[in-house]
Order: sequence, then C-alpha cells, then structure tokens
Amino acid sequence: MASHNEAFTSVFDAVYANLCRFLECLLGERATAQDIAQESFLRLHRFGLYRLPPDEARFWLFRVARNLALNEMQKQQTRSRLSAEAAVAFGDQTPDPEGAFLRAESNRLVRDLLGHLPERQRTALLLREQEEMSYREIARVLGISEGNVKTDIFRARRLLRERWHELHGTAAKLCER
Amino acid sequence: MSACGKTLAALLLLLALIINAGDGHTTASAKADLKRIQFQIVTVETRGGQRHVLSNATVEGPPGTDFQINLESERFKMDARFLTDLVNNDALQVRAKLQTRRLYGRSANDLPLYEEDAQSHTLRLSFEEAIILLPFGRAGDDRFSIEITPALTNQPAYLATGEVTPPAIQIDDRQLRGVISIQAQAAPHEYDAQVSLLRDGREVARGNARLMREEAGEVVLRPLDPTSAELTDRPLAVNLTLAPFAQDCAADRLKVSFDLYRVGKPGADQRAMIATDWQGVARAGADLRYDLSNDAAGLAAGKLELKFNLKPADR
Amino acid sequence: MSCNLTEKVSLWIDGELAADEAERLAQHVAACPVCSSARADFLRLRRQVKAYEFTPDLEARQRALAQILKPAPVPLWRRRLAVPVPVFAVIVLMIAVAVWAIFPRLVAKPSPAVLQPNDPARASQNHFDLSRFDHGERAEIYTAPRQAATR
Repeated sequence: MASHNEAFTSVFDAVYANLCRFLECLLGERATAQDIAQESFLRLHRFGLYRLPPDEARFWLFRVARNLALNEMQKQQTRSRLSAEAAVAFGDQTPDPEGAFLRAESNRLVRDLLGHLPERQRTALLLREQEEMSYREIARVLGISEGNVKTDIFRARRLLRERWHELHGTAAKLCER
Repeated sequence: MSACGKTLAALLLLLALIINAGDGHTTASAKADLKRIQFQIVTVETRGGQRHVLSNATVEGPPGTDFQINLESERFKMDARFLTDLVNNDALQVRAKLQTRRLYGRSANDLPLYEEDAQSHTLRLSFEEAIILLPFGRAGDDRFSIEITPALTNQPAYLATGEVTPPAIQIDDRQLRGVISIQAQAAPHEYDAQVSLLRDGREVARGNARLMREEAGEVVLRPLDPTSAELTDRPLAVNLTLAPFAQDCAADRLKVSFDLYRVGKPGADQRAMIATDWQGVARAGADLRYDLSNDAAGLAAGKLELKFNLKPADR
Repeated sequence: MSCNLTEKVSLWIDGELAADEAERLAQHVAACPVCSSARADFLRLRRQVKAYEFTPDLEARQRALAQILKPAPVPLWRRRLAVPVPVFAVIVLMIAVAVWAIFPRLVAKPSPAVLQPNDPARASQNHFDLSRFDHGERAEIYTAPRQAATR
C-alpha cells in the first residue's frame, strides 16, 4: 500500500500543477479547475494506478479531467463564482505584487483568446502548446482521429490569429480557407 | 519677555496676518487656510429599535484624505473605499467603492465557492449630513450599519513647511476586534498625464490631460510635425485610467490601464481600435514605455513606442 | 492573399511533417510572405499560451493529496474486529456493569441538557459574529441628515 501511495504521490507531484493549468485555461476559472483536478486524481486512485501501463497515467488524467470539465460546462452556473483575478485581489500579498499583476494580465489575455474557441479546438491546442503532446497523444486523450487533431489545431490557430489581429487593429487576414 | 516685547510681537503677528490676508490668492496661504477633516466612523447594531454602538473610530487628515473600511468574518468580507474631496470648503464629494464577498457554500471536494459584488457610488454631502453604509442591506430585524460623519476641525491641513499633516486614525473596536479594520491615506487624486508616441526613440506625437484617479479619460496624441498626414488625419488616442496599485498603501505606484485607437473622423466612422485593455504599473514621475512595433500596423515603419509620464497634479 | 500550404505550416511547427516534406516546406516558407507571416504568428501564439502561469494554491494542493490518500472509509457493517477472548470477556463485563449502573437513572428522571440561547460562555467567544445580519442582500449606501445618524 505504501509503495502504491508513493507511486501515486509521484504522479500527483508531476501532473497536478499542469492539470490545474490546463483546466483553468479550459474553463477560465480557478476554483473549479482545482476541484476537477482533485476529482480526476481521486478517480485515478480509486481505479488503481497499477492497472495502467507505465506512462499512461498522464493521458488518463487529462482524458478524465476533460470529460469532467465538459460536464461542468454543461451545468449552467446559477451564481457567479470567484474569478482568478478576484482571488488575487483578495488574497494575501505576494512577495512580488508587480510581477504577479503582470503575469495575471498575461494570463487573462490567454484565457480571453481561448474563450473564443470551440471546446475541442481549445483542448487540442492547450494539449499541444502547453503539454507538448504529439498529435497521436492528443488523439488518444480526446478519443478522435489524428486527422481531426490536425484540423482542430490548425483551425484553433487560424481563429486565434484572426482574433489577435482584430484586437490589434491590423488588416491582415488569414490566407487559406 | 517684557510687556513691550510682547506688544511688539503681537503687532508683528497682526501685520503678518494682514499681509497674508491681502495675498489670499496665493497657493501657500490658500493651503494655510485649509483645515483638516475628521470622519467619525461608528458601527451600530440596531435591534428592536435600540442602537448599540459596536465600534467608534475617527479618521482625521487633510482634505483629500481617503480611507478604507474592511470587514472580515468567516463567511463575509467587505472592502469599502472612500475617496473624499472638499468642494468649496463647505461640502464633500465622496466616491465610494464597495466590494463584498460572501461564502455561499463548498464544492463537492470542499473548495470554497463565493458570491461577490462590486458597487461604485458618488455621494455629495454637506457637513450637516452623514453617510450610512449597510453592508448587509436592510433585511432582517437585527441591522448592522456603519455611519460616517464628516466634520471640519480647527487643525491646519498643512504644516508650516508646506507638507500635509499625515492622516491619523483612532479606533475603539473592543467589540469588533479582528472583524473591522480602517486605513487612511492622503494620496493625490488628480494626475497630469503626458502620453507620447516615439518613432525610433524620437517623439513624433504627444498629448496631455489631467486625469482623476480611477476615472477614464481620453488623451489625444497630436503630431509634433503638423505635416505628418498619417497622424493628423486620424490621430492616435488613448483612453486611460489610473488607479492606485495597492489599495492599502499610499505608495507612488499606479496601475495604468488603457485602450489605444485612432480617433474617428468627425461625423464619420467610429474609432479604430489598435490595442484593448492594456495594463501596466507605473511609478509617478518615471516613464512607462510600451513597444507598439507589432501592433500599430498602418503607421509608417520604424520602432514605435508609447510613453507615459504621470505626475500628481498640484492642488 | 492566400496560400494553400498554410495548414502545413501548422503541422511543421508541431514537428508532424516527415523530414523531406519539412525541408520542402521550409524552402517554400522562406519565399512565401503569407506562410512566413502565418508561421511568425503561430509561434507568437505558442509563446503566449505557453507562458500561461499557474502557481498552484499550496493549501488546496496539500488538501487534495491528503483527501485522496485518506483510506476509503469501510462501512461500519462491513468492518471486522479481532479481539483475544480474555479482552472480549472483559469488555462484555464492563458493558454489563455500565448498563447496570446507568439504566436505573435513565428510567428514573430523564433530564436533557438545555443550552441557553444567550449563554454568556458562548457569547464571549473571541469573534463578533456578523452572520446573523447576513440575509444575502446587497450592500447599500446613502446620505442622511447627521441627527438621524449618529448619537
């Protein structure tokens, strides 16, 4: 049991922060992201890490977390929740408030941009850019073909690029349809 | 000191006062006339028509003193900020910004869920009036209120050296210890903003404006070379908002938020946005620069930068 | 302006093109302003998305791990006890004595403990309780003549 827990803790340490980041970008909201990350790890623990092939746990976790996030998105929120910015504003003073503020701004821009993408494109792009998964690995997490991953990522980039230019007032239009 | 000496001193003082009165329009004497303002902040519980004072505090400082009242309990938190300005020596303008956060439950995995609210009000009141703040609204028989009563004191707002006398707070919070806290500071409310467009480090357009803290204002950048058609036809402008960087300190750091756009042609199309909701942190008096090279397309080539310089305005 | 190879640029920056195709595309991108601008934009977006910083809330992280590793509770009716016979005998005896001692009192006068609503011991707990004022309403602010307000 102790060795099971040790193995589990090492997976937790390696993946937790990235899973939270992925979920926060996907959902745009921190409390729910941490909640779902915790739930995903709980499910892995109950399922039994030893039942998965080596190195599979990370993909398993992202797959489960994404499915839980989809459920969460479908539930219409009836009350407003604390946003990540508000948590910063209300939270304790960080040692470097200026840096923290600029990072929070940059994070907000990314969440705003990603908010314009359909969920599957957003997920595929996040797994590619932040988690550096290959198209094959993304296909396994999303349960779709590699061809679909290729199209999703390209469309996501095209849309974000357009949105980016729109924000910055340039007339550049994307070349290919 | 002899009686003669005292008389002479009194005469000199009288003379000084007369001279000062004749020169009443100078800033120095206007400053000398300014009195400190005191805000009495009383929290009251009203139950069955009976008032019970729970805490009593005074904030005293020069006109323009701002203060914050924070309430914090297990499930509820309020940050109420008051930016005060003396108007015509007999009235106050108070900009109140309220932020509340209420714990409304916990998620399945025991993470806290909050409901939050933000309000902004501008109140105008005479010294015969008070501000009533009800953090929990009017519901219920048992009501909690914060009453803020302003008064002019006899204490001068400025020291003989011309510096403001710093704000002072006294608080008796025996019953609310750990729940209420009050801070005050006298930070500038108005800033002179200068915004410049630099091309390869050389200033090509500039705009100035006096901005009220926490209120957006437009600064249009006029070309320094009037023959520059690209900046004359549709000049660039920024919609700029300044706010204190940290709410609880009077430090000289300011949070700067702005949109950059080209001004619309008169009677024609709208402004063309170049950058939306850019933010940064500036130190009063120091330059803050943004590289626009990747963003301000449509302008002629060169390294483009936007430079901000913000200084507290003289009162 | 358009170029039908832009989608390949997306594959290229992801390392999903075979070596020879990647080389051909690199030559094309060098000559095609449309694809070269797309490549620059895609890479800029990558930097921005990758720079997203998440510093986990340490408390939540610790709590999450602790809760997950907490042994799953076994329902009471499925738990087993293994007690040596002498210990079991002592326990049974103690229970019997306790029942014998307590039962007559329970039957004689049931006197439930009553908690006074204004128990001073409870009231003096260090923090003033704001929750009794909270009925979920919004905060309100207004001005009033000072006589009506203070004193």
